[in-house]
Amino acid sequence: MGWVYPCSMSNRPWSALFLAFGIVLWGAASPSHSQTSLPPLTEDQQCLQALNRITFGPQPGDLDRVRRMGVQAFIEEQLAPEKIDDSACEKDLARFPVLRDSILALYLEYPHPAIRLFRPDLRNKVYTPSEESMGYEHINGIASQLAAAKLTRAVESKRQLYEVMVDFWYNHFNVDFDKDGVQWLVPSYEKEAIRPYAMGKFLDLLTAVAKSPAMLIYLDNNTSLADPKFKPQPAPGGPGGSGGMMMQSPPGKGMRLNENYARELMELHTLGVDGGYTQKDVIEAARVLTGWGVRGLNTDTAPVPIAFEFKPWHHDTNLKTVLGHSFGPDDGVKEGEELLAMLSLEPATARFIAKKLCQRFVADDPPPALVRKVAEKFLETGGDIRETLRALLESPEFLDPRYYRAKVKTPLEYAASALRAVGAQSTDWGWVNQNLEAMGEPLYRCEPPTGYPQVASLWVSSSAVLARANFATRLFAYPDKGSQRFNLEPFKPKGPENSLDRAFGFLLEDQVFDSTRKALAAGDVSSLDPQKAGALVLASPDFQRR
Amino acid sequence: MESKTPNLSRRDFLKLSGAAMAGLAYWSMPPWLHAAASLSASKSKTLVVLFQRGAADGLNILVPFKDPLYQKARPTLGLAYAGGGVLDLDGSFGLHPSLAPLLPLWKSGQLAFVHAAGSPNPTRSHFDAQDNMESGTPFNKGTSDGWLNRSLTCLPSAGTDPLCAIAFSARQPRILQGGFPVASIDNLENYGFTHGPMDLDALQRMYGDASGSLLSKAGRQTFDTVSRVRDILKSSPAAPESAGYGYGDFNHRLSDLARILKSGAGVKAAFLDIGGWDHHNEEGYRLDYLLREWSKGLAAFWRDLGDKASGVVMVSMTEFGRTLAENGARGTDHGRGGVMFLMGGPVKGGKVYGKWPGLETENLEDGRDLKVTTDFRQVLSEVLAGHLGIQRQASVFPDFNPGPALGWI
Repeated sequence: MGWVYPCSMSNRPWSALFLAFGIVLWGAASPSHSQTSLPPLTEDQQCLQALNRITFGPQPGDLDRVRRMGVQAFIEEQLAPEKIDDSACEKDLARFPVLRDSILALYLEYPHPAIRLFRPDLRNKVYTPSEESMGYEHINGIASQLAAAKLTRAVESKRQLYEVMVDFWYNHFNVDFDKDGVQWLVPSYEKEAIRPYAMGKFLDLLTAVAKSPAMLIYLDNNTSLADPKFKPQPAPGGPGGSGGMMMQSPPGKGMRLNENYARELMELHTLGVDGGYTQKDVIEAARVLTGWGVRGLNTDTAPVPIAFEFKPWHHDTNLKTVLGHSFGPDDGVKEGEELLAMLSLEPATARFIAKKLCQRFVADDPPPALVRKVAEKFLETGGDIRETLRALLESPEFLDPRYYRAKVKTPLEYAASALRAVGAQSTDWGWVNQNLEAMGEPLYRCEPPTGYPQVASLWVSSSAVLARANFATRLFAYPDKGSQRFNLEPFKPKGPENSLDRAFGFLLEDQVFDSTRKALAAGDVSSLDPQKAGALVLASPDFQRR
Repeated sequence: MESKTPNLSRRDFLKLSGAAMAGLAYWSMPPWLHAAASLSASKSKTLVVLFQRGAADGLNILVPFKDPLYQKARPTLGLAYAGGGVLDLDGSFGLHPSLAPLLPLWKSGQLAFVHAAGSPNPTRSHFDAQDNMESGTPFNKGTSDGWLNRSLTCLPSAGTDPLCAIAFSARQPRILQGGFPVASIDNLENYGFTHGPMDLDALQRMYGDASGSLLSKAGRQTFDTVSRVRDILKSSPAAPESAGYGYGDFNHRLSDLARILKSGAGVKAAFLDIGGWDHHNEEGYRLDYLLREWSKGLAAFWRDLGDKASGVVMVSMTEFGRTLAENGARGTDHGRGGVMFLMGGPVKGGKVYGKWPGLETENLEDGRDLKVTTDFRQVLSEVLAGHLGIQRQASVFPDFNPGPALGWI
């Protein structure tokens, strides 16, 4: 392995890095966990590793700040987002009204061309095809604002770990904006089901998600009904009645179970696919959850607040058994709540969540001992996300040289880290989302409930490298106008340093692979202009890692 | 051995797989596979694999419309009533009416189906079942690469075109992960470096190192693909509006693929996926819409290819079928057996292949789902041998012994 680390950050024993990096690259290609003991990371590397992992990438000045306060203090600071003043970012978010609007207000502002909920003025309107497509276009405005707001938070918020966790949980409990009927529900889903609990108790998060209109519609529990042979009562009609938006079942006819949510609840939200449940458990869990629905969707005259509603008339009132635990026969909404509580503290759930967290913060193939340790903390604290995170971030593995920069950034992490690294000021990050689409991650638009992958093997492709290089080019094409603004001064030649030297120092703290330096030295890069130098460093393999 | 391939160069991999697998594979192969493989020596053959993600409802795609149990289980979704519009194919099965654009292919013998096909692993998880079908090892989760990538390493001659294997995606789909270099193309027309401040020579050098890491491999492939695509865009015109591809990413990618194939590129394998098949509610109109676009795109693709169609075979997969009975939301839940589409010049079309298990409760899996009677790997092993000339498949489907040939190609 010919990796040398000619860094000029400070006077450190570089042989340590040399070794560390060789192993990291080897480790990226083979899943074995070398037990070779490596010299620990230098203090600066520890700071950078922490910044790269618990934030969306360091901003200018961040390394100094963390160096001064110490890595542990920085982790502690980020674990307590409520104590961090974030007013500047909040002020910036004011330009996205969808973050504040109620579901009802969104329906009125963005009327569905085919549904016309709550719009008596539109009730008799016949839409032409072009009006209809414009109507959908208009609804896309909700997604654009959401995406721009997410990028604003990723780039500007001081509560970085919190925003990382909001993204993590949204992805874990993914809802696709394009599923029919959820468009107006996504802003409140993130605001009310995800954000309040992102560092709270897992059960609170799971329950808020289970009761959110967005998830109830996305995974169809809203239309999962008790079998009529067990539950012969017809559904009442009128506002607040049964069924979904366009999918109201006629009372007593075709009323059947829908397994979709119950399955994903176990497979993706709690136990994991190897969590030991069976098809029978899926059906029984779906029966427990019959009656969990949404009210206020099926009227076009009198608006009722759209919210979770337990509908006893759809609930299966027989005894149900999931993973050996019995529910009911007729305990109403409590049965589902008990099911969630049971699932949230299953050891399989702890393992599944722990592994995903370790994959996010340590390595694609995390060390099993760490996963065990984090899972234990999860169980010991009754699913306390903050404490679980603390166990992970304060573990020796978090700063283990074997995993130094072992992760390849996802498209969101890449774009946000680039914007943070150059110190960009935003007026609107909408254009970035178009680039994320080319990289394979259009925000809020992941169709399957799995969410976007978090391992490199699924992201790294020839078109990903192309899309990332093009993003870097576009970012540096207009540093001083349009929707991004940043200062080119740090990229200009200074003293003995040319633009590329300065770009490596400013964007990567000179943490550059020897192979990259060597490859660059094979041509003349000494006279690159500041824009080209900056774009090249952002497009480099080095900047793809964190 | 799959788990080690990312460490190796393509050449190493070829050597290793040849050496390790030769003895094992050859004798375990049934005679028809030898015969099929030897017939397909000639060049310019392409395998196109489609994946319908979300579990397409085979029972409403290739409809057993004469079976009263079908209509009974689907009081609102069933199509087997007068006016349901099913397109009778052979007296037992009929096509969903939205598949009408594919009828000419059926009639000219270039379209066939395998019904009740799927994975032997009974999981009803989308993620797991897709993973099984893309790894090609339904009972081994540890497989790190995809079967289509492994097949390419077994080609008698892969040629040198950087577009030998194409994933039409911004990401790297599981099925094409592995040691063989793959071009991933999101959108052909935009596949190039944008104008602006970038030193492309320096960029290429940075990704040109020999570390074999995922990133450098992808980067090298990027440059090869960009220059190849630039030539194709110049020499091969885009399909006009009148080609009738319809809308959506999938249809657009089909037209991109046709454009590449018409340029004479040495494409051996291409992969396209299309989502949106998970119809737990209101399946009627949603499936109708999706099939309309699907069949429109596919019909346009084959028309557009012209005489190039004789060297192209297309196989579709979906992770599983759906419940026989509809649910309370006029949708269907996760089931087992599904339908595979087989298309192209070399296909012995106009026929529904596979053993029909029947819809009587005692013949259903778990008393509710159409059984899987044909392993998806059976269908694939026939096309790998018969079309791409890959005789030794033990490294492609390591724990699978092909059964008697369906004889669809």
